[in-house]
Parts: sequence; structure tokens; C-alpha cells
Amino acid sequence: MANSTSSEIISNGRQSNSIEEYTSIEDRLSSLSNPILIKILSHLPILDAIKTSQLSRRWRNVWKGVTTFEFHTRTMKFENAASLLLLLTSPTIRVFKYSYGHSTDYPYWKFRSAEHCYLSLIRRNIEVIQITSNNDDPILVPVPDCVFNCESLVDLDLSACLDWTLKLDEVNDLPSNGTAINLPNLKKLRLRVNDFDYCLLRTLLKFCPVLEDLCLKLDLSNHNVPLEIVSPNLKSLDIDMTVPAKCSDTVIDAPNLAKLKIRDPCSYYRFKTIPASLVEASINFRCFEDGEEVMDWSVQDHARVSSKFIRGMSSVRYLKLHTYPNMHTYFGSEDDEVMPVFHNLTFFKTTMDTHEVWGNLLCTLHCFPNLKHLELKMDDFHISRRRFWCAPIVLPDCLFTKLKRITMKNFKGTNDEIKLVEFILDHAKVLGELHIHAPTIIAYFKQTQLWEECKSCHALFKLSKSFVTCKIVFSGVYINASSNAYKKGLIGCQIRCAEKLVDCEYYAMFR
Amino acid sequence: MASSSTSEQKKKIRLKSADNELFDVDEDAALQSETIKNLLQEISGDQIVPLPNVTSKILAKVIEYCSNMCELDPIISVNKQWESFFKNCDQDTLFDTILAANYLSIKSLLDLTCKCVADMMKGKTPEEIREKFHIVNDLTSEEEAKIRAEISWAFE
Repeated sequence: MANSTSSEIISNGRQSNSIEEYTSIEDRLSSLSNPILIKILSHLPILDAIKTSQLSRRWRNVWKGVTTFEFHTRTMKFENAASLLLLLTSPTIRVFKYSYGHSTDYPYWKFRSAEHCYLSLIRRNIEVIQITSNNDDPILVPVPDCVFNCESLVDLDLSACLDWTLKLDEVNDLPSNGTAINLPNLKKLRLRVNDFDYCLLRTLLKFCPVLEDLCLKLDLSNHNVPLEIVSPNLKSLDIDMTVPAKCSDTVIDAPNLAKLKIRDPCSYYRFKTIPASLVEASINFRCFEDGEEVMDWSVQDHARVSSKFIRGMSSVRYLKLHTYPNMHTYFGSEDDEVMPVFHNLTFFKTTMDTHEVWGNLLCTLHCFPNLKHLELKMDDFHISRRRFWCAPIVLPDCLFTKLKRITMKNFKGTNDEIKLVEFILDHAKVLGELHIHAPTIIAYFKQTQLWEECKSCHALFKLSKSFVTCKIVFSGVYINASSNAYKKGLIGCQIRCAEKLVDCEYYAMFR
Repeated sequence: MASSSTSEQKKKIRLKSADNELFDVDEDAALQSETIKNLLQEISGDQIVPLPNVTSKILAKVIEYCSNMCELDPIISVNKQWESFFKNCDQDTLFDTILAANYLSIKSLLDLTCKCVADMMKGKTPEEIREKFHIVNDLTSEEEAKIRAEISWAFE
């Protein structure tokens, strides 16, 4: 019942100058028109929308007009959802979304009912179909062929689905059972592709002429045919290799690409057409911990083939790159070729690997004459495997004239790391900020961690005395400090103490 | 469109609220409303656009929203700020904005405010929703039982 308390009436404050005077206990929601109520209910999962039929007479049938159908198989069985869908009166259903907890939520033999369900959605001009799972594991959810023949569809997310019934004829690459594929308005596509249906991808893309956004999760463990991604209007491409696989080729032919993200240690990538307007690239060739053991090719080969690919990205403004050691070889310096120049690049982020030499990293920076922000993540390996500092022979130009901000993550404060910082501070003329982040766990004991952070902090700030133009900011688990507050060996900082930050000063111990 | 004859870039549109307050608004911001766009085609020159269904208090908010949407800042963060505004404002402001956005036909604002109301209903029992929005239950207990029987299978 609507028995509101007096405190609610006060908190709902009346407007003084409105044309109609409302009383605060008036039911403003129910007085909205049906189209607006339907809009509101279309933002709710279907079970919440149904519940509103119990509110009052006014609400009895409003929910049947919703244009969004969203549910979770944990709260509703698929066959119930399919029957419920038939009760909706709206001539169009815009969005159909459901997510899975377990693959057992979907009894496989119910496949027929799934097909009916999708056919009725297609008749109602469905625009968005999303089938997702709670965890990242793929599930055996059958995807009926009819989903691939839908004029109204704009956004299709099948990233949780493994099992397509669509199979290709080996001769002409068209569906073997004569199914038509037609997705003339599809802009966004998310797929999981496995060994059995990766040929399908090429065929599918042919029938998605206006596709702009493609996201692929690859479960390919044993394929030898190159994966081809041909899509003339594609703007964003995201490829994620989910299992270690045999080496293979991937060819990208997407001249209008603006954003590229790849996590794949297994494949050789090539551009068929250089994407001249590429703005953002995030390339991770080392996403598995023990990558080297899995690979059946040499790191040199990988660098040689990939260098052409990386050269193709020379228009980017933002680049994240994680390669095998000797990153500069990925920019082609070993083949007597001229290093490519990335004129637009202002942000570069990379991970310093165990075997990487810092001098090589600085060599790579030659390719980025306009770099403003550099972010380095130091490696995770044990201190005994550390590299030794060696200064580069030729210094990159951007270091003198352009670089404004450097961020170093996972900074453990080893002698080598301190030497690198000293070298940078010595040469980076316009550097304004150096942000140092300590690793979250250096030591098991709180005192040891605090002690390590104190040591790093002091070693860093001692350097900064002679380089006054650059501010050094240190963030650790226990200590947050800035070189601006460092005077005569006294560090002004915040120390985390019983989960609170406390302002304090302490004397550095190594004065 | 409406502004085909204008040469200067930052043209202002003059709007009049229900309580006769005048607002000068950048054309870009005003044109986010389909209704204003259509009204401008009907009236000539620099006439004032009357909006008899929107109070000055709500119109000021709507104009602020439309101007925000025209700025080049990432739309997502702007949207987040507006979402938190509507989640924390009183119900009268929220519902008046819904009616204004609907009348002015500003799709993104209508979507946003409807979503805020939906979020207030999400996961709640019918009784909790009635209390929150002061809905009077006019169903007899027989009717209630009947509705419950009709929909209960979906929750199995």
C-alpha cells in the first residue's frame, strides 16, 4: 500500500513555480503514458518487467509492450523464455539478450524450440542479439542458421557460443545445406571461432558489407590455412587467441581500420592493405607465460615477419606493444632497412622483458620522434635474472625535445633500475613528470615491504635534487610521496597505516 | 534543415518556458530537440519558440544537458554525471524531465531518464515498487491471485 511516511514527503520537496502543483505522494509513475512506461520497462530484465503486472490495474498488461527481452538461464529456462516471447504484443523486439551460468542450463535436444524463437525474433525486426556467459568458458549453445540471415540485425554477439550448425561446402565455401547468409545491416560482430568453423568466418564477412566492429576469440589449435579477415568498412578489430596453437598466418585486409587490438603469441600477422588511418594499436605477442615452449618457430623469424606488420601501423597515435626480446628488431633495424618513423605517435606503452636490454628500448624510441608519454612495465622475474644497465650509443631525439611524462610500473628499486632513471633524468630535457609505481608485493612481511619502498623512494629523490625541473611521484603499497616534498634527506609523504593514509615525514636512512 | 539560410556559426535560439521565462540557447544545443527543430521550420526569422509544456526549472536543466552533449568531451563521462544527477534528484524533477524530454523529443535524454527509473525498480518486489512510487494497489485479492497464477510459470 502507498503509506508513505512524513519524512519521505519532506524529502520529495515540491517545486514552487511549476504550472501544475504536484503533491509529493501523487503516483507520478503510473500517470505516465503507455509508450513512456514501455520505454522504462524495456530497460529491465524480462522477469522484473513481468512483476509489474501485479502493481495495480493500470500496470496489468503494460509489460507486454516491451521491446527488449533480457534474461539469465539461472532465473529462467530457455523454453519458458521462448513461450514468454510469444506473449509480447510489440510488433518489434529490438534487443534479445541472455546469459548462461553453465552449459548444462541448455538441454541440447531443445534445439528446435531455439530455432522457433529466433525465427519469431527475425520476424519482429530484431536489431541486437547477445548470447553471453558468466565466465569466459565457451558453452555448447546451438546457434540456428537463421540468425545469419536477418536484414534488421545490427549487433550480434555469439562470443559464448561454440556450436554452429552452419557448415560449409568444401568446393564453393557456401553453406552446404543451401542456407542463405545475409546480414546487410550488421555493424558489430562478436564470435568465438574454432578449428571446425574458421573457414566460415571468411564467408560470413563477405555477407556483412557494413561491418564496423569485429571481435574474435580464437580457439584454433590445429589449423594450417591462413585466417583471412577481409572487411572493407571495418573500423575496430579485436583478436584474442585463447589457447596456445600451432603457428599460422593471419591476413588482415581492412583499409579503414582505426583501432586494432591483438593478443596472440601464435600467428604471423600481415596487412594486405595498409590501414592508413589507424589511430590506436595494442599488440601483445607474448600473452602466455610459457610462450616460448609452445612455439614451433624461432623468435628471429617472428620479429622478421612481424616487423612488416608493425611498419604498417606507422600512422598510430597510441601504441601498446609487447614483443619477444630485442624489441628494436621488430622495427626492422637488423635487415639494413631504414627504421620506420611513427610521426603521429604520442603515447607508447611496453613491457620490459627479462632478456631485454634497456639500450634496445631506447633504440626503439628513435622511431617515435614526437613521443610525449612513455609507459614502461618492468619485468616480474627474480632479481638474479636481472639485466645489466648499458647506455645506448645513439640517443633518441624525442628524449631531448618531446617526452613530457614517463610512467614506470613494477619498479623494484634495483641498482639497474635506478641507473636507468638517472640516465633518463640526465637526458630528458623537457620531462615534467616521472611516475614510479612499486610492485604490489616485494616482500611477504609488511615491514620488509615498507623498508623496500623507503629505500627506492630515497634513492630516487636523491637523484631528483640535481634535476629540479622534473617532479618524481612515487606510489607504493605503503608509501605515496612526491619529490616536491623532499628536503635535505627528509621525505614528506603519506604512509598507509591501518588502511588509512597518514601524512608524515621521516628521515631517510642512508644520508 | 531549419538553419539552411544562416551564415554565422554560433546562432542563438530564444526559447520561452511555460512560466514565460526566456532562454537564449546555442542553435546546436537547441536542435537536439526534434520538436524545436520542427517548430523552427514553422515560424519565421528570429521569433521566440514557445514551449508551453515545460517549466523554467526543467527547461534550464534540459538546456544544460543539451549543451553538454554538444561539447567534444567524451560523451560517456558526461553521461555518467547526468545519470548520477537523475538518480539523486527528487522524483518530481525526474518525472518532469521525462515528460519534457518526451515532449521535446530528445531521444538520448528520454532514454537516460527512463533507465534511471528502471534502475529504481530493478530487483524489487511489487510491494517495494508501490511504496517507492506511491502506487495505490486497486486490485482485489482475487485479481491478484489470478495474475500471480498467470505469470508464476515464468519464474519456475
